[in-house]
Amino acid sequence: MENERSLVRRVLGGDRAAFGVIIEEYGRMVTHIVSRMVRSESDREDVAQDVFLKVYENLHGFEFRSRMSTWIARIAYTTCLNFMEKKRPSLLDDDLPEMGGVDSFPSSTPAPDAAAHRAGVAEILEREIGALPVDYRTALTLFHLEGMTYDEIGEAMGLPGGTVKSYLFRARKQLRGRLASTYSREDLEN
Amino acid sequence: MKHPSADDIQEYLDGISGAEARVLESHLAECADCRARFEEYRDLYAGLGDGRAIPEIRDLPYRVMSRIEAWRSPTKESALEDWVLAICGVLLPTIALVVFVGIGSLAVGLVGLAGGVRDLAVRSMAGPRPTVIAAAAVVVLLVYLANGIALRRARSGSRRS
Repeated sequence: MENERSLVRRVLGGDRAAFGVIIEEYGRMVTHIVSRMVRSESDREDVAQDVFLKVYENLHGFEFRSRMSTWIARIAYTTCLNFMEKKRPSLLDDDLPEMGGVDSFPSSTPAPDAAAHRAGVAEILEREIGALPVDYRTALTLFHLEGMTYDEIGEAMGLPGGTVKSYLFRARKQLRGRLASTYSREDLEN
Repeated sequence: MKHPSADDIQEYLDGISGAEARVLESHLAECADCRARFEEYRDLYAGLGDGRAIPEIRDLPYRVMSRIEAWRSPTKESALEDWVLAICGVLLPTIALVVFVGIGSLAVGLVGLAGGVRDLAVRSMAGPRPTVIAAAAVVVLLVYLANGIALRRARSGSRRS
């Protein structure tokens, strides 16, 4: 991709096509974050668009103190959180994990049925990730799909790097436990 | 080495176990149970790194750019323009108010002079006391500052919609 500084300069100079390059570069990352945080598929498109509109609106304030991916991830994370607060203020399953305790966190996943047996490992895993608290889902997404470090994830989520590490470890431990107890080895090897 | 914990295994897979890595590797070579647990985590990591099950958002660049087309460019000039508008929204009505007060005071004074009421005319043309003028100016400024802020919010709201 073109040097990010010159790309930002072009956008601020009024070259909207240059912003298209930024969307192409980070669209997948924003899609990952939004899809993992916002449960409603119908809302995801609007939220993802809102993320990039905020990026566009605030681009003049980006001073390259962090990587652009981290900055955009932070906007995506806060946009999703704001959306979730407005959309479903009383829903408890997106509360911070400390509040309920990860081990006692209820899963919305039903017992495996015929459809689950046929589902690929990726779909099974995606379903189980969806049952995790929102901060766990986000940390897993940024670490495994975007290759961010603990500190970069912490910057995006407004958390210390140590907390991010703890979230990741607990999320994986919970996932492993649920996969092992709910699905047979054959399911996971489909 | 004692059997590694889940955290030990994850630190290894995250690449942060440092010098402990070789100790863990040699333990895994000897302990089948730990190796099985390690492989479960390794498979989990492989799955977590595969985002193919996440559906793409269709036409995201096109849709964003369409919405941006309805906007102005986020240049520094446009930010300056916002402030100029806001300041004008405050200053111009204030200046108008002060001028009207001045003209009104002058008019009363002239009427007083024409009617031969000299004391009234002098007092009127002298105008209100400075403290009253200052208080009025502050109130007026606050009112119009609120107007300016409302204007800015309205502008940013219209850009979003």
